Amino acid sequence: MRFVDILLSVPSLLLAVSIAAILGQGPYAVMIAIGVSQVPIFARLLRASMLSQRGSDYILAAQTLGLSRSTITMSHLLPNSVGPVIVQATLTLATAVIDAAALSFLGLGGGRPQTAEWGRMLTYAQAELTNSPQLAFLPGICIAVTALGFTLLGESLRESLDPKTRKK
Amino acid sequence: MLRVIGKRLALLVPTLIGLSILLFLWVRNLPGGPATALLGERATPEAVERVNELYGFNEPIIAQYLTYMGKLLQGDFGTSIDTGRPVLEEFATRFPGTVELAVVALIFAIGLGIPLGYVAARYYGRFVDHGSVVLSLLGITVPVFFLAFILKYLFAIQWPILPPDGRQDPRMDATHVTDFYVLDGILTGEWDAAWDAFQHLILPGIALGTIPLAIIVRITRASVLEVQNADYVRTARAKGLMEKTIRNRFILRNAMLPVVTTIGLQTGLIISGAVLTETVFAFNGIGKFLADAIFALDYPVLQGFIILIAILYAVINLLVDISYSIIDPRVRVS
Amino acid sequence: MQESATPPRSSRPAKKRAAVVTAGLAIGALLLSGCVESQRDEGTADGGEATVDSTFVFAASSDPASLDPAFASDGETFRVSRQLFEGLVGVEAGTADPAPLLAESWETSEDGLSTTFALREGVTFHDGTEFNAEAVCFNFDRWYNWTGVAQAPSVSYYYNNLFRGFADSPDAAVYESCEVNGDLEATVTLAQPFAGFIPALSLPAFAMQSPTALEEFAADDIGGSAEAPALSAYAEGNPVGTGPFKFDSWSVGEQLQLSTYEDYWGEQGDVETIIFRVIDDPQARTQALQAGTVDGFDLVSPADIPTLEGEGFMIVPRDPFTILYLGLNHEVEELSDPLVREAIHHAIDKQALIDQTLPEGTQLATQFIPDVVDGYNDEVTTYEYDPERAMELLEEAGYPDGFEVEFNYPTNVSRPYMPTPEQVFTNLTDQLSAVGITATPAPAVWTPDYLDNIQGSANHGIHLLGWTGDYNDTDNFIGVFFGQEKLEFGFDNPELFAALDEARGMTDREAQTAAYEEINEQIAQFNPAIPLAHPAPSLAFAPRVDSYPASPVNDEVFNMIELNE
Repeated sequence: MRFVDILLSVPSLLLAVSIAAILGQGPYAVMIAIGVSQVPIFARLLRASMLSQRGSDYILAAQTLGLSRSTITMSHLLPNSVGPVIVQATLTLATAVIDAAALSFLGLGGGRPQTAEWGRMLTYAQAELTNSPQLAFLPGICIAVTALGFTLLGESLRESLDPKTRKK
Repeated sequence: MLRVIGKRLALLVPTLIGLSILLFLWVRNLPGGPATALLGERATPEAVERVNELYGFNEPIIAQYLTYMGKLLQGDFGTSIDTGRPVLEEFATRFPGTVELAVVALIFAIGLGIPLGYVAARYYGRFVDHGSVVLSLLGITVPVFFLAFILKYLFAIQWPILPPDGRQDPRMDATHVTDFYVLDGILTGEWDAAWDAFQHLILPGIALGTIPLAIIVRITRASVLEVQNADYVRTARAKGLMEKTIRNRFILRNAMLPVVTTIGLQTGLIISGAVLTETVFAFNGIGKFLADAIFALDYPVLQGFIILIAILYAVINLLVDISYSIIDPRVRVS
Repeated sequence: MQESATPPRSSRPAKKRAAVVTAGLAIGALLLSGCVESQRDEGTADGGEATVDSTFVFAASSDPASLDPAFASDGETFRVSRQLFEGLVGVEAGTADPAPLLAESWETSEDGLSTTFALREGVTFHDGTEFNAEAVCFNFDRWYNWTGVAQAPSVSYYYNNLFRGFADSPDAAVYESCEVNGDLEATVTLAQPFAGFIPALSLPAFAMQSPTALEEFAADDIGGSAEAPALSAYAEGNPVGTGPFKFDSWSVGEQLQLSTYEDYWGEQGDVETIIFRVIDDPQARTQALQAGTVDGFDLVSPADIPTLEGEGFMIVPRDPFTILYLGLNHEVEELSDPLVREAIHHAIDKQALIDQTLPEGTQLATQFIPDVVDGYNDEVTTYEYDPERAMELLEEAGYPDGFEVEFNYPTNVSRPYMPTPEQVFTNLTDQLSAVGITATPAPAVWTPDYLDNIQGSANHGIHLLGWTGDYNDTDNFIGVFFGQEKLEFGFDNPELFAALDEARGMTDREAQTAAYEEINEQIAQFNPAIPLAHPAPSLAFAPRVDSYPASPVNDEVFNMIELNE
């Protein structure tokens, strides 16, 4: 967890930027950079979620029944704690789309320049902003709409998984 | 509480050491290495070799790290390869700008976010509510730099009502005392300079504050909704307390708790956002300098700035925890 | 904050505390405002007869690396240096040829080793000290006697490159001694012939600086840390030269301000205050000009030129002093075949490339130096655009169906000789595929990946690169490219290397020019790489600027700017 704390002590975009800078221009650089930069968040989340489940009655019951530690963890604790993680994953998809665009913007997009990628399209369009602003607006709107879609998906997932906010 | 703060600060030490090791290894493994970055188009192998020797890049990595740490402990963060100035000095001269920007962004986010979230919750399910939910969703999903571009394009180029770049008009003859330009203008009584500096903060401040704004709206709304139906509110109503009292003393105060935590968490977002926003607005802050350092592979700056930012980040979160315990007497920092 | 035994019960204290703190801050600010004084000169705002706004704001792409040009090699530093300092030798307006400046004339001895400079009279440094022969020798001896970090090629780039050695390594040194003969005459003696000596002195790196100030602010004290050279107090804020402007202030990352030097020996001009505003993003510079916060900037993006012209801004193109070429790696089997290289040359329509991707004013390149440089050969062998011929040659070489080759190019970078590498790449790829050569794209970030790969390894195919000249010196172009065996091109041509080496050492300028003309033909025959174009970098200015002294070698001093409002 200390290691996760170290990673958490750096804002996630900075972390992604650092990783992308090491990996250079390979096509997978951006994917890895964004993936790794989100690790601490998920690690923290699952840890908190599992800790809160640990004291539950059903875990106690399982322990009394003499189930092995790994069985309890894998077949009881984990499935019951994974809800918030799934929700976070959906929400992170939106963040990932935006972060990928931001990395492209900072010149760390990776891959070939002619690869069609919204963040890069947006970056290149800056040079033409005065002449043809639509070149910048269209990819920008695409990024926003996609991110919006994933966010809405995550929101509704959260609502249906969380009994407190479920609509009657 | 002093003891608690001490403990938290002590916990920071191993984190920072770990971070410094990671950063050090990262930087030394950058492709190409710093010598080429220094020499440019005409880097002959001999020149690269000379630079490596001169700057100690040839020594074993552990020796390099120990030298680096030794200096770090004496407050020496090294010298920027790009500018030839001490990293700490570079940080210090740019820090005020970023703080000013962050303050404006936070004022924008909090000042607009809390009332909006509150109103949305109060008129739950009505038009205002839906409007604010949609707005906050948009705020989260628009990339910061894209928003910055749109703002700049619209309000500095198409309708030039606000300045497009920098921290102050180049022609402004301003006296700088603290390097907080707005404050400087107020202190010296140069009101035009203060006003000019403030105008330069508006567009980047809005761009930077939008994501925090969206998040604060959502958290405030959710939290007010929850508190509104709490038992103690019902009890207060039953007691016949004035609606105003109930709202101010019970609902708002209790609903603020999660909001304060969120505001603390926004610092990370603001620092990340500053890298992008400051670049778009050519705003001379730590974010832009960091972005430049990435391009130039100015690794003393990368190392130093990231460590300084981590310290800052930790201190802010500590402050948030402390203020949390002030607002909520039930919670004690522990 | 104290730990309280009983937590505060009601809501009030916190709020009150906040109010008290706010009030305290406000009072504090008011009290402070009495102590802190505005340093503004109240009466100076252009009163009197001044009809033009004499403040000129120029958008620079970065801060100067240092205010001491002797330790610099980048364009932004030199731009500032040219306002503050002058060299013994200047540049003829609008050309790349040397002209008198602080030295009114000079005479070189028979053997070409010693040059006697007759100095201009009545010139003073900004600190009031006199410019004389002693100051000249002080500067030459200063460069020669550098030690430690100051000797690093990355620190004193030009001295290293041109004068080669220092006092502690006299065998390599080009410089030998400087002698004061009277107040206004100095003789510089070289240890070995150096034909480019006079033109080289027009570089800002060899400008004359005030000996008093250099000593007072420890200009050579740049040891600092081992990580990177630290700036001296002189280079950070105390530069003293003889130029028309003197240093005012520098707020790093934002702007640098210069103002007129009242006792300047020459013409003062319309501009009295120069502000170099740092805006590193090219698009942001265009926008700053449009918004009116700056009066001009350099390296206009070709795409913006029509828009800016339409909006009434003035575009000033420089005469090109650049070369953009398509490099060929002879380590690649296909490219080592002269027939293939000729075929590639015939396959490229340089004019179409220029029209579609390079700024207006760009000249088509037939050789690796622009026409203002000595040794330009008008009758050099050329390879016209002829795709049919290219295909025939490929067939002759044994590649009837063409071949595949890696095409390396940099991304996200703009150089004076190549504003948009991606566009050049796309354009050339299409032209090559028309004759059957398939270019596999291999993009990389400029530094360090791209330069490392091209110059430090043999692992590349064809690539884009170029150069911007520093001053009129042929060796500065072709000597650098083809003077020795290099990984960039991967060929070994002893004959060419020897010819270039011999030309470099010639003392007679005319003979040297003839030799270079011949070498240019030799290169054209050998066809080691393909010169594409001499792109012309342009500047853009606000309508209130009437004229700007554009120079191919960037020798642009702002006292020559004419303003109309």
